[in-house]
Amino acid sequence: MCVSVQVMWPPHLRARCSRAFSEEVDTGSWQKMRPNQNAGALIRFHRIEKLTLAFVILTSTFQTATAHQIGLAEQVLQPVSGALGLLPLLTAALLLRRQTDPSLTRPAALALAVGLAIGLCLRTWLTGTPLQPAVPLSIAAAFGLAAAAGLAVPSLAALIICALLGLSLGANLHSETNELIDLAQSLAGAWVGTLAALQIAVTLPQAGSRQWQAIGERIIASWSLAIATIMLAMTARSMM
Amino acid sequence: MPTRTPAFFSAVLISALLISSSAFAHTDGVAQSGFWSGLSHPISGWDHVAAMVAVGLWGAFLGQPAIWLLPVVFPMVMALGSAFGVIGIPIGGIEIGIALSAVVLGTAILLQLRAPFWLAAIIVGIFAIFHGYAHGAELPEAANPLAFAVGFVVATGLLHLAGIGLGTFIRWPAGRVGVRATGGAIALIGVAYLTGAI
Repeated sequence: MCVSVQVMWPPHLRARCSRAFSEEVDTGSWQKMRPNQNAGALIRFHRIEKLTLAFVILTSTFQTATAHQIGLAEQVLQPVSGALGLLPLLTAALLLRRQTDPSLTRPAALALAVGLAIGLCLRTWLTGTPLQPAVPLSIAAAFGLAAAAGLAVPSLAALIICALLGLSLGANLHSETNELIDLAQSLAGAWVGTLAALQIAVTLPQAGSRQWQAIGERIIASWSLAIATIMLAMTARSMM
Repeated sequence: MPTRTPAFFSAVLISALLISSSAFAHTDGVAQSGFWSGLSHPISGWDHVAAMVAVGLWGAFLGQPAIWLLPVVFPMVMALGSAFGVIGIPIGGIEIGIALSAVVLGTAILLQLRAPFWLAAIIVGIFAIFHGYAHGAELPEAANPLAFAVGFVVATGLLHLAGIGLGTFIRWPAGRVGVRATGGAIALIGVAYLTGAI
């Protein structure tokens, strides 16, 4: 005898879940946007990102009290709390500012998540080797060169940039232990933190004329490339 | 109803997390020594200072786009030279190259040479290798790599900006004379260093 069990969700909970995974973009304002509307920026906060942040907060809160070395703030701020995260993030943001297609928001966030996951897997082999800092520094140098050269960023390139950024950050992620829950927390925290940082950088308002802003961005990109190259050389020296 | 933008949401999130970070025993001393060490490196010798200011001055004479593209090219190629120096790849005639950079760039300013942009970029790029190599080879072992690199690149960039700032005086006749005289002085400094190097 076959018994089918149907879970009856309360209507308000069902409505909330369906909205969280809908195509609607949460702009944070009372007016909701559709993806085909001109959002004016690549990265937007969706409900799914907010739910991820809620996951990080809740799992951190309800874990057994232990002396945490890596707290909630560190998990979310990992991408912006060290040179190995900041340099690729800054140079990627300089590149992504040139791509303002709002329809890329979700694929870009997904590419970032995939890159983070691959990077986290690679971390197992990279930990303790000089290659671990070399991966983000090389990616930052490549991004810096592209930004300083003023290259255009087509849609596919934007997704690749997001994936590579995720890879570079994932390869240097810290987690309390190698247990699944800690890894998931680190991954989710870094994803939310990176998206937030990217969003701020990509949607920063134009300061001054567009031409001078472009010049300033290329100068910052060249400086970032120089810093990444010098750090790469120092890493190479430590290998010798 | 006030509108809350996503950027505002993100800024509040990051600010809150930054404020709530754990207390650490601060180790700023190490970072600062690395930063100041890097910052003071490019201004530790008159030959370096003269050449880097000359890049900005020459860019100002050449006009758009050289005025800002030369200071973009210089740090990138200089970092490559630094990498050679740090790793220890042998390059000969570094001191001569640095002195020559001041002579050539100073003379270009003095004579108001209007080279094509690509040629100016190549000249500046070649000299940047020598400057970067000298700094890279002298890089202290114990320096905080990030702080040192940031200080080093920022100091170089500020010297270029100083040159560009001085170069804006060329719009006035007296300023043009002054800038050309500065170019002559830079060339003389280069000659003095070149004599010592040879």
